[in-house]
Amino acid sequence: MSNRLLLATFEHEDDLLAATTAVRKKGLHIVDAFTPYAVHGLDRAMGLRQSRLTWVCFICGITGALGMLWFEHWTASVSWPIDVGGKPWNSLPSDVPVAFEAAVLLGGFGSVFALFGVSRLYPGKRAHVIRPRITDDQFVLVIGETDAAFEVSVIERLLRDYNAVETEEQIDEGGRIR
Amino acid sequence: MSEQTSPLRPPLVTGDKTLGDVTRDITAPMAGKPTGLWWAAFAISSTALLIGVAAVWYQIATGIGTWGLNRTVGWGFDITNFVFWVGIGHAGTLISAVLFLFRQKWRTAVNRSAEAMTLFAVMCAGLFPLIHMGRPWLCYWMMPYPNTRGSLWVNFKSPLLWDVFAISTYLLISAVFWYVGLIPDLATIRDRSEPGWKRRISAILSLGWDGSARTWHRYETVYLLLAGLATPLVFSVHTIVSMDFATAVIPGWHTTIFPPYFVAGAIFSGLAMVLTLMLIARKVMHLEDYVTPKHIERMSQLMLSMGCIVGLAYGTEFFMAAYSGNPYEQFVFKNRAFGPLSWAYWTMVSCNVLIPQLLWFKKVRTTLPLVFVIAILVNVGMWFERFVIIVTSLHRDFLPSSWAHYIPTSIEIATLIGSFGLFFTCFLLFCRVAPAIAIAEVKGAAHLPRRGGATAVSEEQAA
Amino acid sequence: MTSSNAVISRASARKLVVATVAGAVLLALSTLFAPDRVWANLLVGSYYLITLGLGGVLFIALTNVCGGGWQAAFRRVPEAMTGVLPVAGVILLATLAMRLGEYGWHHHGEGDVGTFWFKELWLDPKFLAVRAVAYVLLWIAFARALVGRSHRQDTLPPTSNARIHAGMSSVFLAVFAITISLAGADWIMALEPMWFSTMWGVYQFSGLIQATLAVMIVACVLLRRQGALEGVFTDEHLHDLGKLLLGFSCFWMYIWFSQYMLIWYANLPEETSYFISRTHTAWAPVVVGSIVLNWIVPFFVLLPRPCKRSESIMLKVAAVVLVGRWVDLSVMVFPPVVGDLPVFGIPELASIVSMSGLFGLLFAQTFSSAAPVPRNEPFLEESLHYHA
Repeated sequence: MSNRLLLATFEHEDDLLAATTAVRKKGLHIVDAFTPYAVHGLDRAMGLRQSRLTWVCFICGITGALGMLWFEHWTASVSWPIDVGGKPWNSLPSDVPVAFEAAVLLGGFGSVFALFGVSRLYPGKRAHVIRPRITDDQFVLVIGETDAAFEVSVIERLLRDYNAVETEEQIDEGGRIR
Repeated sequence: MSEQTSPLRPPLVTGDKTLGDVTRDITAPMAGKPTGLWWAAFAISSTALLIGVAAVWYQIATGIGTWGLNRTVGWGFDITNFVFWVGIGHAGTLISAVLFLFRQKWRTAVNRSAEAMTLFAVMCAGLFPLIHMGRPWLCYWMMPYPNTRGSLWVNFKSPLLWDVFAISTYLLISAVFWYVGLIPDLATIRDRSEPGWKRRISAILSLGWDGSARTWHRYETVYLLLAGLATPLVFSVHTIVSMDFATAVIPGWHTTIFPPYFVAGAIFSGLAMVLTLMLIARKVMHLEDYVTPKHIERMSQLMLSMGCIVGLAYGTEFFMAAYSGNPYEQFVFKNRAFGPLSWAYWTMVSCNVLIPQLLWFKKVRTTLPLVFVIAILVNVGMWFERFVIIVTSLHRDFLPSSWAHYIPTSIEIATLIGSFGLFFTCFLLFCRVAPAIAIAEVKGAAHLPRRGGATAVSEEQAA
Repeated sequence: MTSSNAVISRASARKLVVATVAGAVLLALSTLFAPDRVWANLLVGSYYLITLGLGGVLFIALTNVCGGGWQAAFRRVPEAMTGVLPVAGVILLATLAMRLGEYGWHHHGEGDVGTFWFKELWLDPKFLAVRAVAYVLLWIAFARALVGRSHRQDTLPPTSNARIHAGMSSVFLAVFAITISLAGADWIMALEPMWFSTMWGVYQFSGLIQATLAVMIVACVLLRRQGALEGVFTDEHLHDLGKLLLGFSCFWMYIWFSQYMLIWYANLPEETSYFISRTHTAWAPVVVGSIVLNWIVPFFVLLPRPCKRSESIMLKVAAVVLVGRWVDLSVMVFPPVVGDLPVFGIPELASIVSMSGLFGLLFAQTFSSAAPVPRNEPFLEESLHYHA
């Protein structure tokens, strides 16, 4: 599937934010934006919904804690019970620290790998850098064609109002830009 | 939708920079040849490292009888150094995670190097218990895995085993946190460098980062999650270290305030080390516009408050020993302050509590050489704190007939020197191969003013 | 108190007065059949109130020192909390005076006190009383100074006197850290004079700040509904207070667990006495209840982001935490004073009703004495427009 795209380049985050808000208000389809750093408020301007990665972290953390608690119980009171310092075989207070560490470890790794998974980041991936200065000091907004409202000259004029330094029409082949 | 910032707030980046300037300034030290100063520092620290390697080689080959420990004082330099280095590591996590959660934007100037410091410090810390095992090649016995010894499991009731889990989790999570923070900056380096090995490596490590806002959005979520996990983690690590002592029944070790007191002490010593390193790095690497006197002042204030908390804990211990009426408790604290090791105790009190009080004065906080001296003294004081806790509590306990003295041997001192060598060697290499300041985070937090003739368009105009 | 500023209607003020007086009368009557319970309730109630007032000062001082701007819009709420300090101080001191003679350490028998000389000195009734008065006066003085400055700023040109606030605030923090540790030990730990724990001061602090945040959440939400903070107290503020409550609930649990675990692990008779009379008696379910209320509920409910931004959920969680604080304090005070059997009846209910009414009245009165939103506040704009 090929899509017509409009790339607008900005030099300040405020311009990008204002343009994104305006473009979205016009009902145009924002494919993505590319920025050198996490622009505060851009997610809201683009209308991105809350990430569900927090749930991955929560579930991994709970699994880690409960799994480790069970394992400690099993080793200390089922598999090979040993009296240590007169403590009961299954002593919850002394099981807590390690269970906590397991929760943090699993929660942390779980959410990072989930991020790599959903954002398709992996070693050896060829980065599709949309503009060379995108990781330095430029911001790019990508607007996609959805219907007849995609009138390039009109949108270009709109973007000029927001100090877009450059606009360019592109055909997206094979959905390189999601 | 941009946020309001009070005009009272000082700018985070000085010197009227653009975004491009930020990239150039921070990556500059990595591109050029190392300076003479860098080579000098590297020569000293790698020499120290070599001394350490020789000492470790000798003591593993001969056995830890080469240390000054005896039947009464079973923990000395080794565990002192272990706790000291773990503590140093804590400031990294504090600055990168806790201050992130509290939206302290000034942290962006120092968080990258503080995180690197955490990694290296935890590596140094891990060395000492490993060597103390006597047969470090069997260290994997600490992990609970099915084995041919009947499946004899590790003892989950032992605080020393909690340490194994705490320290290794801490090392892994710190490394992940550091790496995740580095990914966007690695992409910046990838797009800035000439074709060659540097570009190839940064391309692999940046995982195909393209700056997409959707990725940034998820990335921010995960970064927040990691910060949320790292904060209780940093508490738990030094809490568990403190429990190595506090679960025992030795007076001076067993006291309930140890967990928060050790955490505060760890952050205190870590901040001192961050200050020490950053005061040097900003000069050597010309980062004065990013690590401004304002940043130094903030860290000095944090260090002062931690020093006061530690002082309060010292006071509480003395108060409760007197209040308890327990003669053994009372003796330990009397012995600390007036016994044969009182010189160590008073070094600790002066360096950790008395001298940092100078930081109440703005004049002191803004005189950078003075801050540097205080930070170094705090490092010394915090090392002595661990020494005092460990050795003075052990050397004279319940049974006067077994009282003994402890004198470290040259091997132990050489190992300590070696750990400093390892730490600084790693840090110097880090400054060469990775951006010492988090580029993307500084750009995001600083909100640099626009340049040129372009004027802002307000939202009302847009609507 | 002008009627235009008043945040509660005359009718509700009258209801609060009735509740306070009726509770107090009922509590006074209860002395006839349960004097110990009445005294324990008075101590729990007045300590609860005074630590809420102190928590207000603490929040102001902490945010001043950290250079916080986000809280500027609803700063009048913690300031109004400090209004309870004088009255709570009087009740607390009167309560202590009632039993000062039998409070704390008794060295029975003549002669050498040996290693207990310090306890003998420290828990001397006169010295105990002098210290109590000193702590309360110090707290009131700092509260007045900090809140007074903030009120004066309303009429001054918007210059930067934030620095002066920071200086005095940091001095307060130092004073607070020392006095709360000692006060907690003097008034509550000394109920069991042979027992001691170095963690006690931190434990007192953790409960104090948790309850303070919960009260601030309740007050801010109610004042937003009532109108005084409408459009001022935003969902972002609610979200941040929720995060802080979540964090400090975990902190309370951390401190509680660390103290318990170390005493359990070392198993020394002079230390375990505290937990034996609480976890090995009928108090055990109450101890578990305090953990559920103070940590499990706030932790699991406040983890998801939407919960922290929902007014009704936050109100409920804050209420749970406030009940948890009462349970926590009761677990500290009741076993040594009343005995091994948990009790709940007329004296407890009367004390809770009376103290809550009193807090409401004093809070409303103090809040009405100044503009609901600080004027000439350099951080106000920042506070009104930020995203959590």
